[in-house]
Amino acid sequence: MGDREPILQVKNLKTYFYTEDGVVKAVDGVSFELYPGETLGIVGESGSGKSVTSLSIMRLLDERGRIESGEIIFKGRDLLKLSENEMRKIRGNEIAMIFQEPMVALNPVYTIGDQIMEAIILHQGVDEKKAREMAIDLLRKVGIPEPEKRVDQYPHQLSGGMRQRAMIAMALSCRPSILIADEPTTALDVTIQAQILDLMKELQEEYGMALIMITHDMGVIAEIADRVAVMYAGHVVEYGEVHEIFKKPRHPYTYGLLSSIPRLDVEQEKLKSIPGTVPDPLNFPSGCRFHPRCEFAEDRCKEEEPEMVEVLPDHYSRCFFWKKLEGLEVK
Amino acid sequence: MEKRTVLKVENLVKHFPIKAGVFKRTVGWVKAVDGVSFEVYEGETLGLVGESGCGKTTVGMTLLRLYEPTSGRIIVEDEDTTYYFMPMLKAKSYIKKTYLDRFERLYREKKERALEELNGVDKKYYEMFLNGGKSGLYRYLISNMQEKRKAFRRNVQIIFQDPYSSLDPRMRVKNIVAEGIKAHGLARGEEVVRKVSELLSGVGIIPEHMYRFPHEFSGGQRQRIGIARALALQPKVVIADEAVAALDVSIRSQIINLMEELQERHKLTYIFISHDLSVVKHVSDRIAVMYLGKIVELASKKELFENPLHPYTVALMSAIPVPDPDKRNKRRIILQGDVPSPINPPKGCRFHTRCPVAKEICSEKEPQLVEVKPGHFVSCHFPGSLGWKS
Ligand SMILES: Nc1ncnc2c1ncn2[C@@H]1O[C@H](COP(=O)(O)OP(=O)(O)O)[C@@H](O)[C@H]1O
Ligand SMILES: Nc1ncnc2c1ncn2[C@@H]1O[C@H](COP(=O)(O)OP(=O)(O)O)[C@@H](O)[C@H]1O
Ligand code: SF4
Ligand SMILES: [Mg+2]
Ligand SMILES: [Mg+2]
Repeated sequence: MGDREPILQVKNLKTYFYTEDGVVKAVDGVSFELYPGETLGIVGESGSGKSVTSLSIMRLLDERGRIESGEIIFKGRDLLKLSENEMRKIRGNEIAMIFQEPMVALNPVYTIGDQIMEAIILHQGVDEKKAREMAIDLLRKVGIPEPEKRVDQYPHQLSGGMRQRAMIAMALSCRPSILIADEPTTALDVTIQAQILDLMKELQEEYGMALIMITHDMGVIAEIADRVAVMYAGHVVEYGEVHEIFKKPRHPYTYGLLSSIPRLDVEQEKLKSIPGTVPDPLNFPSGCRFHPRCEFAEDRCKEEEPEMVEVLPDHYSRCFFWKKLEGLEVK
Repeated sequence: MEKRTVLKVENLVKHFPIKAGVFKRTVGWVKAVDGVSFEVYEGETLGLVGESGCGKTTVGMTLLRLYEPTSGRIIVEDEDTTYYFMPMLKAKSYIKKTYLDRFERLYREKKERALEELNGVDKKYYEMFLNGGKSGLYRYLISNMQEKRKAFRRNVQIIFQDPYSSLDPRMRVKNIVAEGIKAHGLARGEEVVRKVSELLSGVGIIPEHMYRFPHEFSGGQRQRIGIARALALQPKVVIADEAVAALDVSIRSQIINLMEELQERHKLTYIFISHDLSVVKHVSDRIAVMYLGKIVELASKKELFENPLHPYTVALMSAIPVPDPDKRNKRRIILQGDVPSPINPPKGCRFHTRCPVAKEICSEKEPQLVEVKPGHFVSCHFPGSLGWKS
């Protein structure tokens, strides 16, 4: 990995929300890299800061959200220093995003074709006839049957799976170099999820895009990611190559998460569980934010906040006592 | 040990009318549940799994009579409860058709010998018919409806998916949990508080928090409160409809473990409804797989996973991403297309439009759910022909 240049580097990103109740430190010092053509999985429970991280990259935060500090280096430029005009050229063109609920991204009053064509005309400067041909080709490519007919239909006329395909077609229309997918299969049934994951892998290979796959599902991560960032309470708590994360977790949260999933492929007696609840973002625990739920915690964890340390080559953990996890089996 | 059936569903059908126009004419039917049969044994967990829209919730709601069944029988222990919640006239005509008229015909043909071919409630009621005549049986079935309904409500409880909307936000937790206890007169005054404390600590909620409102608890804690409420009446059967679906992974396993502990402690019988086969596999003794309003396969967990026979079961198993990157390249069965609409389900086998091994007969003739091995039921013309190994 060291010999390649990352296409995207997020450095110490902090995004806070200023609400009536106080400051929500939704993303609080997140760093990771994305290399060309690879898939980075971001995994964590709800509220851990996954969506806010991706919205920060796209600079699509609402007025309450503020990027406090950090850098987002894309092809050598810091996105946080770009004007809104320059940013608009990046969005959709260079970095595209798809969401859990396609109805949010698709406009209900325009046909699927109109929406894809608009993007194509805007970014590629072709005429309408050519754009329509390209839109139909794209719909075919993402596996929508009878694309000549579907191109003139409205979003509500498509099933959930088909809408997700249409949104992927729209995102790909400008051949972005990065696709950010925020829980793209969470609302879908498993047989449809399998179709969409398959499609995304295929297209990624064909287009050579880098992919950021955001999900709460460790199964999806294992299926598709090359590298993984595990998030907890606004932090990346563990970061490394996918096999390392699953076979040698070195953060107690990752270890707990992996041990608490009911599995189809192995027999389990009783599930392990992580005690307690996800912390209140207005009031994160002192020291290590995981310490109240951590089975390995010692006094130090309550007072001092651990830094990311390289525990194995290219494998990082935000835990003082990562050594306690050596030799533990996930079961 | 002999297995005792606590709940039996026979040929359950629930169709919802589709209304249109100013006169709200019925223009069609959603065949949400279209002939579902299963038994649940005492102390076991029966998993009901299938993708969204296949009719799982409708099965649960119809069992509880929160929806009125279109047809079919719902038997609890050794009583037919189907007519308990029907309007009086309808209940009478149900009893007449299902028992009185039928038994009369049987008696004319076979006299006492008919007993030999009957079992379960039919046998019990036919004996009453022989002893007390038509009017004796009728009186037995139609009397004490109020108590019958109450007993049913006590015996069968439900836990819902959404711990946010299923608890009344204006009620204190104490009253939420105590509601049923009071309605059924199971306790009064101080005794109620003691019972609620016991129930709450049994599900891991600090009893002192009983005077708080639902919004003061996290999702997982609310689900615990929902469970305490369901257990308040000491039910025999608990239907859990997507009870852990809305919870985060680390909290989900807490609730699963809690439900398993409570099952052991209170000898509960569960019908565990979920779209998530991994969760269902973990909690169930037996599993029924549903597709478009029908059960396509039913077997013990072990048998189902070692020897899945229905192509849909196999496809479902293969579609689930396994949390192990080493197993990434296993061969997957990718089903084509979407689930068809339950308004006009495909003719023949309902799965034939997506089935990788369908042949001509599949689009013509509907396969029946047959027992191919003791306890293993499947409805497919070509069971076992779609192979897959994880
Ligand atoms: N627009 C917003 N205003 C205030 N708080 C927000 C907003 N968006 C997200 N948050 C908060 O930021 C935290 C992280 O949210 P999010 O990134 O959406 O989590 P995830 O995607 O991991 O589930 C949560 O505590 C959430 O409540
Ligand atoms: N009250 C209702 N009125 C009309 N149709 C309904 C109603 N409830 C459910 N349905 C339909 O019945 C089918 C089965 O739904 P449901 O039982 O909720 O499935 P599941 O719980 O398996 O997702 C779906 O097509 C659904 O749209
Ligand atoms: S730093 Fe301490 S509390 Fe945090 S994860 Fe490590 S051992 Fe647990
Ligand atoms: Mg999110
Ligand atoms: Mg449901």
